[in-house]
Amino acid sequence: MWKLVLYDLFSYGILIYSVTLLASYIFIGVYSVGETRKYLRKSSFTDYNLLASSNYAPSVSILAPAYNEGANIIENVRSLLSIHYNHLELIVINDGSKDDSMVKLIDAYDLEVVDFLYHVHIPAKQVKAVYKSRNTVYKKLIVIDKVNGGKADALNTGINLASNQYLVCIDVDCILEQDALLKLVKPFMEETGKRVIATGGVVRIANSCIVQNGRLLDVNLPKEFLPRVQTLEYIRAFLLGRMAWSRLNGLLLISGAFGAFDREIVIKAGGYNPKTVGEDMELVVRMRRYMEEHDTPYKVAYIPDPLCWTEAPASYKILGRQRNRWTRGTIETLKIHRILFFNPRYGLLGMLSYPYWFFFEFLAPIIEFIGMAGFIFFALVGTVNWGFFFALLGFVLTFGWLYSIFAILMEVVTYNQYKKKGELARLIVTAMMEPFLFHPFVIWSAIRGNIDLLRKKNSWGEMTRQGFNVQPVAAVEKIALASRLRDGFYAYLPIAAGWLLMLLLLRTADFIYNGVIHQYPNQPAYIFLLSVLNELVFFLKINGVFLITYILLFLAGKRLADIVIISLSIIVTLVSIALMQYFSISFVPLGADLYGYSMNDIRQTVGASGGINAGVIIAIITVILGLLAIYKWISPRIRGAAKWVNLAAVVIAFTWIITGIFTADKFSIRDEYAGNLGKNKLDYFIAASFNHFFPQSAEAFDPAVTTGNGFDYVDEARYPFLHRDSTADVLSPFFNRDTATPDIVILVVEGLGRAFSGDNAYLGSFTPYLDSLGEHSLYWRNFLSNGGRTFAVLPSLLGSLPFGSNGFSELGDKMPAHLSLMSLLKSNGYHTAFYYGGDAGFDNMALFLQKQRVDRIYDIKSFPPDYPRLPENNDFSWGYSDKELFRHMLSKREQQLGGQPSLQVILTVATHDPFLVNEQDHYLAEFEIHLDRLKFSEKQKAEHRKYSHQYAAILYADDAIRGFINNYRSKPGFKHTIFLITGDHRLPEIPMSTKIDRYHVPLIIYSPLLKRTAKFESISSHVDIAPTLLAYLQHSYHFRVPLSVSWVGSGIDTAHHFRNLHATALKQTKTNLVDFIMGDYHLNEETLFKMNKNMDEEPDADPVMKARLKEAFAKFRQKNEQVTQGKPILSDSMYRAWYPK
Amino acid sequence: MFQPPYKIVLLDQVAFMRVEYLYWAMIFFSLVSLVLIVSMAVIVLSKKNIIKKRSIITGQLEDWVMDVALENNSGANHVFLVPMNTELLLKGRLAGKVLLRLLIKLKKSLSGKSGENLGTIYNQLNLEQISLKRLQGKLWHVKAKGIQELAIMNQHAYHEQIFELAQHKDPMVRMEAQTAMVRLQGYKGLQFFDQLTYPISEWHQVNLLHLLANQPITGDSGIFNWLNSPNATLVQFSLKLIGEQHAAEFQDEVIKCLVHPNAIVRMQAILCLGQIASDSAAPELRKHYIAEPDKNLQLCIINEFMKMGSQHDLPFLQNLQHAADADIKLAADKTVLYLQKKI
Repeated sequence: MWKLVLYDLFSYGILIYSVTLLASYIFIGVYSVGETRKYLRKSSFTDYNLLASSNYAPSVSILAPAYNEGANIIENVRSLLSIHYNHLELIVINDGSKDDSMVKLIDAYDLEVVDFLYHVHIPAKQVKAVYKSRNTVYKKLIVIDKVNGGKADALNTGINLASNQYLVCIDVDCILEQDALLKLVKPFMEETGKRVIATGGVVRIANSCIVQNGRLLDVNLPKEFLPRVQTLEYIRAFLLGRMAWSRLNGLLLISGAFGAFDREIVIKAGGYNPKTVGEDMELVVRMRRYMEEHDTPYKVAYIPDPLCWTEAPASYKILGRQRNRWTRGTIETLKIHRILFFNPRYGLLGMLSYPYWFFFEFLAPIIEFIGMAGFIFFALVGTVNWGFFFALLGFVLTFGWLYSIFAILMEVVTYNQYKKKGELARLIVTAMMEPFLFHPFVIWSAIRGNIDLLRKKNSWGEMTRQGFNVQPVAAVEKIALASRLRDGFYAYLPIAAGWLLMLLLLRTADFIYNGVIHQYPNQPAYIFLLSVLNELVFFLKINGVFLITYILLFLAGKRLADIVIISLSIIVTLVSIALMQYFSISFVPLGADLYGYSMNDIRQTVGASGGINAGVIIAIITVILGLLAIYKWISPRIRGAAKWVNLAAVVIAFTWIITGIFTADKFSIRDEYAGNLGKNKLDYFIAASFNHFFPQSAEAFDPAVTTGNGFDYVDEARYPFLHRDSTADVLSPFFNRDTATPDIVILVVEGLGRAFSGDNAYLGSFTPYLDSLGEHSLYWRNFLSNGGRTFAVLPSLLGSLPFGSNGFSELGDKMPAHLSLMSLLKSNGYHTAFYYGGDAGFDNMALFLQKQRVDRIYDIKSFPPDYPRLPENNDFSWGYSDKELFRHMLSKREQQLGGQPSLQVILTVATHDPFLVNEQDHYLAEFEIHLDRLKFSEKQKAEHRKYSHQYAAILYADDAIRGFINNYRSKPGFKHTIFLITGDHRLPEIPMSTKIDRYHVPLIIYSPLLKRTAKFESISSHVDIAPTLLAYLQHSYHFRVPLSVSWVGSGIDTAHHFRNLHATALKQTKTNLVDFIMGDYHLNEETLFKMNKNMDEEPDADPVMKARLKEAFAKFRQKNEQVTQGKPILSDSMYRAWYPK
Repeated sequence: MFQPPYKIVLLDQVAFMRVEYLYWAMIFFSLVSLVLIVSMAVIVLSKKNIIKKRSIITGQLEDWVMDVALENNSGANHVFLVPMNTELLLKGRLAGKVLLRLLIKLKKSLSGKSGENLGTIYNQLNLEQISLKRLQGKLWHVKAKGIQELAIMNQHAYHEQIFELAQHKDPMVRMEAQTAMVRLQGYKGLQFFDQLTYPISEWHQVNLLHLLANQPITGDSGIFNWLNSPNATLVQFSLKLIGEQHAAEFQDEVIKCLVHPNAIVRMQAILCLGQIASDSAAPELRKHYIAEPDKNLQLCIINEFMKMGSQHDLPFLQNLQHAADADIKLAADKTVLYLQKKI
C-alpha cells in the first residue's frame, strides 16, 4: 500500500511540474514572437549609423578580459579597435596571463606605461601597470596588466578604470558584427520613463564559419554534432526565451560573452562577484535588485540580432565542464539572492523571474533525473504500467521536437542565417537526435554541477578551444610509486576514522534500540563492551580490504578512490543496518540460512514482517546523509588524529581476537539474546556464508565413533541411519486399549514455546487452556523441537529424518527414499491429511507430504471464500487463522468419515510474525487482563507490553485450541482420538534466555483413551515421536512396521525426573547445524553448556564432555552429509515393501 | 492497519490521464511539427524567390537609376526618360517596391542635384502613391515607413498629413512624423514642440540634431520657448542644439538652466557651456558648483573644465583636490593635471 501512495505522490508531483513547465515553454514561445516581430519592424527603418558619428551617442567602454590568449589576441584587439563608434574606449585587461600575451600587445600596439589615475570603486586584485599606445591611431586602447584574479576580478578592474557611461563586457575572442555596438547601445537611448540598466545581444555559434582577420565572412551550420545541437539550443534560448523575458521585463541573464551595462548602476550594485562562477547572471540579478530596492523604474533589454559569434565546445568533456560551471553559477546566484524568492517587495523579479529560474532552470535537471530514475524504479517493482510510461515518454519527446522546430521556424522567419542547401534539414534532424544524444548529457552535467557545488568546487575548469585559441594543458607530475602509496595510505585514514565513528554510533544506537523495544540484557555494560569489541574486530577485517582497495584506486586518482570507498562504506553500513533490523525482529542474527530459502519464501517472510516501510527508508536516507556528513565535515577535521584512532582500533581489536582464541569459554554468553545482541551481525553473516559455501572437509568416517544413541546399525557404511528398531513402547501403559485403531491428530502450534506455556514458564504462562489440558494429559515439560524454524518440524516429527543440507524437505526431488509415521500409517490403512492455513508450498511442505503419500492437503487454496483471512500487513497475509483452520479441518474431517482411521496433521500460523489476528483488540485486552492474573509487577508488565502482539497471538492460539478440542468433543470418533500437541519451535520474537530456549517446546498427549496422566521432566525431541507412536501402535494394535528403521530418534523418554538419554542434533536454521545435546550437556558451536531440569543452562568448561559431544556431533554431521550426498536411508527392497501403494 | 485518507487512484488509470489522450497529444504535436516544417520550407523557398527576384530587378534598375541621379541637365519639371524594359518591369508590384527601396537608399547618401533628380523620378513614376498608401496603413510600422519615405523624398505636399501624426499614440509613428516634419521644414517643422506632451527620447533627439546640424538656430526658431518648456527633455534637446551649433548668443539662457529643477537639464546645461565659447562659462560653473547638490553634476562640471578651463580655474580645482569624496578628488586631480600640461 505504501508503494502505491508513494507512487501516486511521485507521479502527481512530476505531472504537475511537467504541465507547468510545458505551459511555460508554450507561453515563452508565443510571447517571444511579438517582441521579436516588433524589434524587426522597428529595425527595418532605423538608421543605426547616426550613432556612429553623433556627438550625443553615449560613451562606451569595452571591457575585454584576457587570460592566456596570446595566440589570437592581436587579431582580436584589432577587430575590436575597428568598431565604428565615436565615443569609445577599449580596455583590455590582462589577467595575469602566463603566456606572452602582454609582450605581444606591447609590441604590436607600441604600448607604454602611463600614470593612470582612477578610483577603486570595486575591490580587485592589484594592477601592475596601465598601458596606452604611443600611436594616436590606437588612442582608444588601454591595456591593464594585473595580478590574476579571475574573470570577474578582471572586469571589476576594468570598471574601476573605465571612464565612459556604458560598459560593454565581452570575451576577447568573440567576433562582433560591425554594427553590434550601435544596436546594443540604442535601447539605452530609447526609453524615457525607465532607466535601461543593461542590454544583451544574441550570441551565435561560430564553429565552421569562415572567419578572417577577426571578421565573420560566411555563416555555416556547424559540421560537428555537438556545436550544431548547441546552435539549436542557443536559438531556442535566445530567440524564444530571452525575448519573452525581455518583453516581460523579467530577464535575469545577459550573456557574459557580450552585454552592455550602465556603469553607474554596476558600481552602485557592487560590480562583479568574484566568488561565483556565474558572475554574469549574478551581476544582472544584483543590479535589478538594486533598482527594485531603490524603487527606480528600470528595464533590462534584449536584442534578437545576432551581434556576437563565439566558439562552442566540440567535445563532451569540454561541454560538460561548461555546463557544470553554468549550473554552479545558477545555483550560486539563486542562493545569494534567495531573498527574492516569491517576495512581492521585488515585484516581477521576485514573484516570477526568480521562481521560474529556481523551479525550471535549477530544479529541472534534478527533477528530470529523479523522475526518470523513479519511473524506472517503479517500473521494475511492477507499479508502473509500461505502456503508460512509454506513452508519457513519447508525449514529452514529441513536445520537445515541436518546440525545437518552432524555434527553427522563428530563426527562418527572422534572420535565416542557415540558408545553404541542407542546413535547415540537418538542423531539424539534430533536433530529433537531441533528446537522446545531447539532453541526457546536459542533465548529467547539471547533476554533477550540483554535486561539485556541494563539494565546494569553484573552478572554471580548463576550456580547450579549437580554431580560435588553444589552452595549454597542465603538465602531470610524475610522483614516485612509493610516495603515492604512502599518500594513499594517509589519505585513507581520515575516511576510516570517520567510518569507525559511524559504526560505533550505529552499534550504540542498535544496542539502545533493542534495549528500548525489547529489553536490555543482564549486565548491559558488559554486553555493550563486548559488542564494541566485536565491532572493532569487524572494522579491522573490513578495513584491511578497504585500505588495499583505496590505495590501489588512489594511484588512479584520489577522487576515484574516495568515491569508491565512500560508496562501499555506505553499502556495508546499510547492509549492517538491514541485518540489525533483522535481528531486532527475529532475535537471531541472519546467517547462511538465507541461502536455504527460496525467493518466494523470503518474499513471504519479509512481506509478513512489514518489509521495507517508510521508517526504514527514512533511516536509510538518514544514515547515508549522516555518513556523507561525517566524511565531509568530521573526517577532514580529525585528519591529525586519524592515524592514532585507527591504530588504537586495530590494537584493541587484535588484542580481543587473541584473547578470544585463548579464553573463548570465559566470555561465552549464556543468554542467547544477549550473546546475539553483542555480535556484529554482518561479521556473523559473512562468516556463516563463508562456511556455507566453503564448508570444512568432512572428517574420515570412523565406525568406532558413535552418535551416542546406541543404535545397532545394519550396514552403517552403506545406510548411515538404518538400524534395527529397538524403540520401547512407552505409551501403552498410559492408554486403555480401544476396540479400533485410534485416530491420531497431531497439532503443531507455530512458535509454541515452554517459555510462555506450562508450569514454571519463565515468562509466565499465556496458554491457560493448554495448561489445564496438560493436567489431563501426558505432559513433557522438557521437550525439544529439532529445528529452530518451521522447516524442520514435519520431517523431524513425522519422519524422524536427518536434516540434509538445508532441511530434509529442501532436498526436493532429491529426497532419498524414506518411510515415515504418515506413510507407515497409510500402509496400515489410515487416511492421512494435512491442514495448514497458509501455502503448503512454503518450505516444500507439500512436496514432503506428497512423498508420504498423504491423501489430502488442505491449505490456503482449499478454504471457502467466506472464511475470514488473517489481517494483512503490507498487502501480505499468511492465510487463515487458527480458528478458521480448525473449523475447516472439522468440516473436512466429517466428509472423510467412512470408518477409516485417520492421521490428521495440523500446522497453525497465527502465532507467527506479524502476530496479527482477527480479534486483535479483544486479545490485546485479554493480554492486559492476563498480566493481572499472573500478578506481574508494573515493571514486569512494562516488559511484557513490548511484546503485547506476540502474547495476544499466543492467547488467541490457546483459545482457538480450546474451541477446537471442545468442538471435537461433540464429533463422532472423539473418544477414539489421540491428540498430540506440540510447538514447531519456540517463537524467536520474544528474547530468548538460553541457547536451548529456541528448541524448548511442550509435548502434550491428550486422549479420552488415557487411563492416567503424568508429567515428565526427561528430555526428548520431535524425532522421538514417530518411533514411539509406531511402537505403541504396533504393540497395542498390531501395526505392521519394519524391523529396521532409519529413525534418527530413539523414542520418547517417560522418566519423570530430569535426564537425557538421547544424543540429538538440533538444527538452528536451514543452514546452521550447530547444536547437539547428549546427556545433560548441550554443545552450541564451540561452547558447552550444562542443562538443568528447568532447561536452563550454564556454560561448562568440562573438556572431556566437550570433546565427546563434539565427536558425536561430528559423526552425526558426517552421516547427515552422506545422506545429503546421496547415500540411501534405507534399502530399495525395504522401501518397496513398506511404502504405501 | 494503515488506510490512506483518500482513495488511491493510480495516475495511469485516472480519467484525465488515459494513455489514449497521450497518444492523441503525440499525434497532435507531430502534425503541428509537420505543418511547421512545411511552412518553413515554403517560407525559405519564398524568401529565396523574392531575394532572387529583387536581385534581378535591382540589377536591371541600378544602372538606370544611377544615370538619373547623375543627370545634370534636369530642370524643375524635367521628365526623365524611362527605358521600355524598365517601364515594363515597373508594371509589376515588386519592381515598384524595389525601385522605391533603391531610391530611398540612394537619397540618404546623395544630396544636391542628384538628390533632386531622385525625387523627380520618384514623383514621375508615382512611387509616392506607394509611400502614401503606407502612410495611410493601419499597422504602425507600415505607417512609420511611409512617413519616412515621403520625408526622405521631400514630399512637402503631404506635410499636413504627416503633421497630424506628430502626436500619434504610437511612439514610433510619432517619432517618424516629427522627424519627417523637421526633414521637410527644418525649424518650422518643430512646431509640434508647442504641443509636446511626451518626453523626447535620446534616440529621437539624436535624429533631430542630425537633421538640424546644418541649419543655424535663429531667434525666431522658438528656442526661447523650448528652453522654458515644462518638458525637461525638450529643454535638454534645446541645450544640445545650442551646444552642437556652438551658439554662444544663447549663453544667458543656458546659464539660467544651470538652476533648473531637473538634473538632466542641469547636466546638459553644463555640457552645453563647455561647448559654447563663453567667457562667463567658467565663472558660472565655479559658482554653480557650490550650489549643485548632485555629485554626478559636480563631476561633470569638473570634467568640463578640461575643455574650457584656464589658469584662473586652477585654484578652484586645486581646492577640490582636497575634497573628502574620492571621486571628486580624482576628477579634480585629473583636470588639474590636464590643465597644467596644457598650460
